[in-house]
Amino acid sequence: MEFTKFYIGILYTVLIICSIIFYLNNYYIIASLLILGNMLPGYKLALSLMVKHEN
Amino acid sequence: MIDQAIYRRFNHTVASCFVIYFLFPEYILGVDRLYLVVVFWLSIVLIEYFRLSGVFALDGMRDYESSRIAGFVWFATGTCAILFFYEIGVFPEIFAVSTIIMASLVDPLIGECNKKYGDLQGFFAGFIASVLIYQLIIGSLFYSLIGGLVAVLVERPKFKWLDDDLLMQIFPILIMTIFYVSGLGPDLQVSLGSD
Repeated sequence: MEFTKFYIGILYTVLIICSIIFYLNNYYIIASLLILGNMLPGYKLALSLMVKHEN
Repeated sequence: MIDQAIYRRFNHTVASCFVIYFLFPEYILGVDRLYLVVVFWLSIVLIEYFRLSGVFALDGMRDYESSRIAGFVWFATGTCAILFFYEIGVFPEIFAVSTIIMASLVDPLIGECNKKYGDLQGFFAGFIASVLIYQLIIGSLFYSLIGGLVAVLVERPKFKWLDDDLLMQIFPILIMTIFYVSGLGPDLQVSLGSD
């Protein structure tokens, strides 16, 4: 579980870095697609990570 | 507790970042970047081998994937195949970039729409989304419609030993390339020009 959280953190980082690189290289459409396409699943995943389940 | 379905979707959409490959220099530390593709694919296969052997378990797997090749392997195989054929000059760059982004974003969208609204709505949502992505990147309605249509058509059939994650990449780019190379489709700038 801890590894999965660490891995998800890497995914968010990779996504942000890739979007910035495309933006800085003037590939605005690709940068926008990366951000917009990942926004909803990324947001929902962040929400599910914040939910605490108590037994 | 992570929502496994959402985790799986996010893994899928993040795969769109594979297109960063096209901004890599041709040689990395003196090594052709194509070797990076081969090493990456072999790493994925190795991880899958250990997962199927029961050495470790991965989050986000479907139940039926416990005994058969997982979706991420099919997707990585499709992407690596596109990158390989791009490097040897078969697939144009613009088709490769757009197809990788389209497949990574549209497949989860179809899955969600199928689940919430039904198969027909999933089909049309996938078609519209894939045409839109192709149009934004390629800028040719002809290729956008063909690529989008082929993508959603090959997503439909379910095979045990062949996954839509692979088919949704290989078939659209193959058909578009055939149209482009044969001259049946309109001419266009195939290199990734900045927006």
